[in-house]
Amino acid sequence: MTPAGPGEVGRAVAQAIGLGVVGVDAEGKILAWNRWMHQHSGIPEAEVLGQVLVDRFPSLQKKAVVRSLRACIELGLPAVLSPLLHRDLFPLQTTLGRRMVPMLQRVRMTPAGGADEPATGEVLLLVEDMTESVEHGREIGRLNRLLRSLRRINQLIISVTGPDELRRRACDILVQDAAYDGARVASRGEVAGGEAAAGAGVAGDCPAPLTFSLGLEEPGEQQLMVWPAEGVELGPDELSLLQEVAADIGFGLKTLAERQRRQEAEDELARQRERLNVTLRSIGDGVIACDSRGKVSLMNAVAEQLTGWPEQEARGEALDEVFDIINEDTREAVESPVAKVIRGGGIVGLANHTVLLTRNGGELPVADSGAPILGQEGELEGVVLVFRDQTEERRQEAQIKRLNRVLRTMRDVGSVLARERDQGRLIRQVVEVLGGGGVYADVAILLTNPQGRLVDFATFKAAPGLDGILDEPGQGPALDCAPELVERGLLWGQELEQSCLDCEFCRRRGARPDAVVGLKGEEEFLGALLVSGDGGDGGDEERELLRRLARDLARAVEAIAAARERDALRVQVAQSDRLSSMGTLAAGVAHEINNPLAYTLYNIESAAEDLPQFMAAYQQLLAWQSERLAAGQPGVKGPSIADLEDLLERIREAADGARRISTISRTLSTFSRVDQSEVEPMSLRHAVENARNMAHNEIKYRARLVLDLAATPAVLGSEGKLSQVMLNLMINAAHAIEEGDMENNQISVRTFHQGDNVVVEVSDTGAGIGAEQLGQIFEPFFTTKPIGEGSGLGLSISRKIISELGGEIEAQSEPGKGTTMRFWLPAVQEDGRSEPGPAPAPPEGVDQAPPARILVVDDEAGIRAAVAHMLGGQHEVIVASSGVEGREVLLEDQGFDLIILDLMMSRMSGMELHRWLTEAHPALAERVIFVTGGAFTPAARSYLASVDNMRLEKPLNAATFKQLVATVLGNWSS
Amino acid sequence: MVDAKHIDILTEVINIGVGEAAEALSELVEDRVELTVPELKTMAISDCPAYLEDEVDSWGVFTSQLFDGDVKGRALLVLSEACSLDLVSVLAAGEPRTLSLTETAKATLQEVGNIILGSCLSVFGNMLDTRLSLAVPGVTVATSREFFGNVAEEFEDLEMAIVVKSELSLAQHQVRGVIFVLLSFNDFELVVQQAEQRWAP
Repeated sequence: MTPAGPGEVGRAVAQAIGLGVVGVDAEGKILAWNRWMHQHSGIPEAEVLGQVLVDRFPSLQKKAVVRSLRACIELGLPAVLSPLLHRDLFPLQTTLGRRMVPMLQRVRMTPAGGADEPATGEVLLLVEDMTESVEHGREIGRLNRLLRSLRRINQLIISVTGPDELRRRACDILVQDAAYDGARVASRGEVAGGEAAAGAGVAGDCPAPLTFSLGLEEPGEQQLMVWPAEGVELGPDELSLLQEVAADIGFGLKTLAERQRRQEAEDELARQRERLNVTLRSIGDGVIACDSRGKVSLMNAVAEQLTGWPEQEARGEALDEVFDIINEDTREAVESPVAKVIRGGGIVGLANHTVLLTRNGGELPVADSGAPILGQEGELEGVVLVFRDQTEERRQEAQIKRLNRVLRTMRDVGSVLARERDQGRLIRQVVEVLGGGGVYADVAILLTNPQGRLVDFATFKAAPGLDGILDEPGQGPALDCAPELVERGLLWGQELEQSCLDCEFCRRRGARPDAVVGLKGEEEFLGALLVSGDGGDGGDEERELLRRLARDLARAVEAIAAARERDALRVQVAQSDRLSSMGTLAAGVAHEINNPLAYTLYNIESAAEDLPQFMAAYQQLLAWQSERLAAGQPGVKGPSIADLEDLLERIREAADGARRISTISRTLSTFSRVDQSEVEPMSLRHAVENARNMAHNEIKYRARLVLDLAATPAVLGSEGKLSQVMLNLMINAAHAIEEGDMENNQISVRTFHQGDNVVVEVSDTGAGIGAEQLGQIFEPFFTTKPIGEGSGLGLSISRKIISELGGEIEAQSEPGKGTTMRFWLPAVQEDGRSEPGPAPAPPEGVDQAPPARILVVDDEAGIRAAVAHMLGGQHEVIVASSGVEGREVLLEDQGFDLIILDLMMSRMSGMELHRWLTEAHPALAERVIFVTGGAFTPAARSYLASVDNMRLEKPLNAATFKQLVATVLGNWSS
Repeated sequence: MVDAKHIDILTEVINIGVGEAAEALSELVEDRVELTVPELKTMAISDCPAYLEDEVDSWGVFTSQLFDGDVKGRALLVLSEACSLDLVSVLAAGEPRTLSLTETAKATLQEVGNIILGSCLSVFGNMLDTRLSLAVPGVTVATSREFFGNVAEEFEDLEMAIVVKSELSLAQHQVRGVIFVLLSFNDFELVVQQAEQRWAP
C-alpha cells in the first residue's frame, strides 16, 4: 500500500474506526492491521505485517473463505462472510454483558481502490463485531420459541384429560419446542411429577434448575423447574415469560382439578339416574305403578308393549282398563292384583292361567304380582304391578313334552335297527314305530340305488298312488331333492319349500312332508326319511334327533348291505375255490387222457386211412377166389366187401368220437385256468367256442344253437374267466327252455363290433324273467331256479368279471318271449389287430418235403410209435424214451433237422433238455418243437413264454401234423 | 436483433453459471440444491419491473447484486420471508429460528447471495470473456411494490434486457426460491459474437 497522502488519511481512518481493518496484498500477505484488531486480538500490527494471512490465522483456511479471498484478489469480486456460517474467523475477543467471549464476526472483503481505478489485487477485510447482534438474535429466537410454547401450553389446558398429562406434556413442550435441557413440574423435594429432559439426565448430577412458582395455594407447593441449555444465560424477558408459563400451568392444574370435581359429581348423578332407568327398562318384565286409587302413574316399555297402551295415554287411567285380565279356562274377569293389594296391604301373586287382553284385541298368557308402595309413615302411596309374558314359557313346555315323545319313539326305533337284518323289513318296521309313536302323522322311508333312483320304500299311511312305482326295475323315480339333502342333511320349513321340486314320489303319494332327512352312508347317498308332523315343533333339538335317527338308519341299511355282500363274497370265494380245484383236477385228467388219446386217435385214423387199400386188395382177392371157385377149386369163406365197408364206417365213427374227446379235453384245460388273473389280448370267439363245447350237453335236447360270430377286434381278458362268463350265459339260456321241443327253440350267440366295444349277445326263446325279478338277477344268491339247482351266483360272478375288465352287462327280457343277455368289453386298439381268420392252407406239395433226420423224445411209447409211423415213410426217425436218453443221443449225434420234444416227462423234462441244448448246441435248440399234453405247471407256462419255439398240443391230428412238419422243414431248408 | 440462436447460446452459458451457483449452495447447506433450466426472455428495460412483479407470487426477501462491465445488470435471489428464515436456520444449525430477519440473518443471506450470484456471474463473465465488477449484495425485505420500480433504474439508459429465471429448491428442506438475472447490453450482438467465438467448435 502506497503511503501517499490520501492513503495516510485512510490509514488514520482505519485506525480510528470502530471496525477491524486488515489489508492484504495480491499474494495474500498482510499489509495492514488496525488498532481495533490489536485491541480485540491482543496481537500488535508489527507481529503480523508481511505474513501470509491464512498461514498466520489457520482458522481462515476454510474453503469458502479462501475461495472468496481469491475471487476478491483475482477478480475484484467483493464478498461477505457471515457470523452464522463462520464461527471462527480471526481469534478475537469481546465483552458480552460482563463476560469476555469469543467475538462473532462479519467480514466484508472488498478490492482496495475505487471503482474507477485499475485493480491492484489488494484487498481490504473489514471485520465487524456481531456478537451482540447474534446474541440478540438468539434471544429473540428463544423468546419466540418460548412464546410459542406458552401458546401451546395454553391450548393444552383445554384439551388434556388430567393434571398428570398437563404436567408431562407441558414439560415435553418446554424441552422440545423451547429447547431447554430439562423441565419438571413437582412439589418441593418431590422427585415424581411431570418431567422431561433432553440430553443429559435431569435428576442426576445436573446443575441447580431455575424454579418458578405455579401460584397454587396448597400444601407442598408445586413448582416449574427448568434447566437451560449449557452456557445460555436467560435474559429478564425470558425469565418473566417462564414465570408466565409456570402461572399458566398452575392455572391449568387448578382448572383441571375443578373440572374433575364437577365432572365426578355429574357422573355420579348420571350414574344413579341411569341405574334406575336401566333397572326399570332391563327388568324384562312389564312394570306398572299406580297411585293409591288404582290409577296408572308409570309404565315401562315392556308394559307398554305387552298391554298395547302407550304410557302417555295410560297415565291417569284405571288399572283395570289398561291391565285387563281374565281366567284362561273360565274366561271370567279376574280381580286385579292392585285392588287386592289396596284391600289387603301385602304382596300378592296372580293365579295361574291368567290371560291379558291387550288393547288391540290380542291375548297373552301372563304371570304377575303386585306390591304396595309405602310412604315414610308406612301409609299406602301406591301399588307396583310386575307381570311378564308367558307365551314363550308355555311354548317351551309344549316343546319339552313333544321332545320327550320323540325321544321315546326314537329309542323304540333304535331297538328295531339293532334287531332287524332284512332291509325291506327294517324300513317297514321303522316306519311303523315312528308313525305309531304319536308324534308324526305320517312317515315314509325311501331307499335309492347309486344312480339315485328309488329301489324300495315304506310309508306309514297307505298311499295307493304309489302302487306300481317300482315296476320297472332300476328305473324307479329319482329323488329330486337328493343334491340338497346331500349338502344340508335335513330340509325343513322354508328350505324344504325351496328345494322340494315336487318329484314323482311325493306327487303320487299325494302329500308333501314337513321335513326330509337324507340317509347318507359312508360314501353314498342311500335315500331319505320323510316325516309329516301334527303341527307341533320340537325346534332345533327335534331336528337334531331326526338327523341322528337318519344317521343310525343309514348305518343299519349299510350294515345289512355289507353283511349280504360279505356272505356273497364268502360263497363266491368258496365257489371259486371249488372251480379252481375242479379245474386242476380236470386238467390233470385231461393230461392223462391226452397221451393215450393221441396214439389212439392216430391209430384209428391211420387204420381208417389204410383200410380202403386193404379193401381194394381184398376185392381182387375175392375176384380171384370166385374164379377159382367157379373152376371148382376149393376156396375160403371170408367176410364180404359190405362187411368191410361196415368195418370202415365203424372205425371212422370211432375216430370222430376220439376227436370229440380230444376237443373236450382241450376245453377242460381252459376252464382249469378260471382263477388266472393276468389279462392279455384275446379273441371272444375262443371263449364262445370253449363254452359251446362245455354247454353242448345242456343245450342239445332243448334248442338249436346258432352262432353268429363276426370277426371282431381282440379284448383284454383272461380266456378262462371269459369262457366261464359265456358258459354261465349259455347254461342260463338253456335252463330257461323246457326240454323236448328243440325244433321250436333257439339259443343264438352273436358277437359284433360296435363303436369302441366288442359286444356279445346271448338270446334265448325261453320263459323270460318278470320285471320285478329282472332288477335283482345280478344280485348274489338271486335265482329263479328251484332250490338246490342254482347257486344264484352265476350272473353276480359274471358281472364282477365283466366290470373288472372295464365292461358292462345288461339284461332284457319279456316273460314268455325270452331273454337277451348282452355284455360289452372295450376293444383293444392295438394296430387294428383283429382275431386271425382260419389258418391258411399249406401250399401245395409241402408235405413232399425232402427227407430229413428227426429225433422224437417222448416218454409215452404209443406216441413215439405213432409219430415214427406218421413220419417214418418219408423221413429218418430216431426215438428216445426220456429226456436223459434224448440227451445221450444228442451228445453222440447232432445231425438232426428237427427235434420233437415232449414238455412234461418224468426223467428230465423237455424244458431241462432244451435248456441244456441252448447252452451246448444253440443251433439245435432252435430246431425244437414242443409237444404238450395240455396241463401246464406255472414253470412250464413261463418257460414257453420265454422261448420262440413252436408248440403243439396233443392229441395230434395226423394230417395236420405231417403238413406242419413239412412246412417247418421247408422253411428251414430255404 | 436477438434471434433464437442467440438465445440458445446464452441459455447454454447461463445454464453453466446457474449450475455452478447450485453447487456452491449445495456445499454450504450440505443438501442437494435443485435449479430448473433457466428461462430466457428478451424485453425492453422499461418492461422489466412489471415482468418481475408478475413472476414473483409473494412478498419476500430480495437479495440483490448489481454488476457492471460490458454487460450491466442485476442478479436477484427472491425468497419468501418464511423460506429465508428456514434457509438461515438450515445454514446456522443450532441457532433458534426467529420470527423476523435479524441483522445477523441478513448478513447470512448476504453471504448466500454473494455465493450464489457471484459464482453465477463469474462463470458468465468468464464465458463471455469480459470482466464484470460486482458490488456486495444488498438484502431488502420488500414491503411495497416500489421495490420493483427500482430494480432496473441503474440501466434505464439502455434499451433491451434479457431476463433469466431459474427456480431453486433444496431437496431435503422446505426452501424454495427464484433467481433472476437481468442482463442489459451496450452492444448485444458483440456479446453474442464473443460467446459464439468462444463456443465455436
